[in-house]
Amino acid sequence: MEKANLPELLADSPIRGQGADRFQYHLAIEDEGGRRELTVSEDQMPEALRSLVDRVKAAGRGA
Amino acid sequence: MHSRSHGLHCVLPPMVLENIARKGDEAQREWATRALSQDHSIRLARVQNSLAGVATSSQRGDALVGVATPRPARVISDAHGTEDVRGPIVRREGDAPTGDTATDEAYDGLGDTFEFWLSAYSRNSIDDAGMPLRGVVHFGEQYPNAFWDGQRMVFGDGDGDVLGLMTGSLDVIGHELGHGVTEKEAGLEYFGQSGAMNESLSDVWGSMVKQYKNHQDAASADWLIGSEVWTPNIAGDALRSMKAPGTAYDDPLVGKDPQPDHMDNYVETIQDNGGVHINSGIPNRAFYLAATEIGGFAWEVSGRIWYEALRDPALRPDSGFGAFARLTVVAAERFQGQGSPAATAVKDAWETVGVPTEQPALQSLTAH
Repeated sequence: MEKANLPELLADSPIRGQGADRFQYHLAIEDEGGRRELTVSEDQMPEALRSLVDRVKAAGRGA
Repeated sequence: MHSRSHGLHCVLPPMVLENIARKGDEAQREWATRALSQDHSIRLARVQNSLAGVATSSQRGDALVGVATPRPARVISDAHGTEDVRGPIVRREGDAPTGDTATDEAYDGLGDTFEFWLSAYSRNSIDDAGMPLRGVVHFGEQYPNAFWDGQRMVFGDGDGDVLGLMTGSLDVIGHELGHGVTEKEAGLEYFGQSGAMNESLSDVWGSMVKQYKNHQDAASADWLIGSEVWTPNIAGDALRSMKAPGTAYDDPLVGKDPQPDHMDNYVETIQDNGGVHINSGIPNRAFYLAATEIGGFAWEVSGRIWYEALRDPALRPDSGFGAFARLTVVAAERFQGQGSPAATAVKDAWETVGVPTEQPALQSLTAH
């Protein structure tokens, strides 16, 4: 979570991509700071956030 | 952009043809509109001649001698399961089939799309200037999508369980390349209502590419987008239905098609860039209604009207449904005549889906 630098990304949300028909990821983050939502296009996702998303997806698959 | 910046060598300036196309009687409007379409191809040929050093003076014969019919310039790359769109080229224009299904389907689909634009609207590739058609196959790992990245069309393989190969759907290919056309002509912003209009136009182009390839008229077309994409595991006919938005799929895993078919059900959301794939159902149905009411081959009249509206300089990047609808009426009246059955069909189609075609008083053209 820390590596993903979420505060900076949240400030820029929604982060739209180039072109058309790209996947968008909508992240809801809940912690002691409350609930915040981040929208980011797959082609604009920083590597650190991509790692976080991959882990969340893997958890969802039960991997 | 295409060749409008080059010098012209015609006796009749295009503005004269445009005035006749706008103000003449039915027969005059017909020939002037056709002349404008052919005129563009001739201008392109003259530019090509000039660039190739071919004689253009009347003293040296026909200015068009030696001009080749535009041909596609296809380049297919293979990402080999990575997300690198600059992978090795596996098939170039004129190369024999490779035996890889995705590569060969992408190659054929890009060619069919090129052929549609050239034959139907005398448009030489996406940018009307012979832009190479680039495709990337085997993008990502079981990547369940296809997209236009601004320069190329990218195809995933699907996961095989929910979604199959994206290259197998000609209307999807036509849709994605259609984004390039819309980008070059109007640059409709990919957000909110302008984005939904952008998406709808791609469905219009994609559906017509398929109809053209299959020689189908509007009455016999299925008006489905991506009917080949779902696997048999999914309860769905397609990704979208232009004829009946909201009915393309209803499955426990992937959910129900969320598209509305009327402005009363317009979806306000921040997801999906403001619902660009959702609210496109409204203008999609408008095109379906206009095309089936007008009849014949969709690309000949209704498609032409939509294309001319896209090319109208009054269409702004932030234009919404209403602005585009009004431009289709203008185009229909110019192309077919004021009060013509086609112009009436276009107005009725938009009214049916809840998009007014009359200019609102003191409102932005981007309003709903």
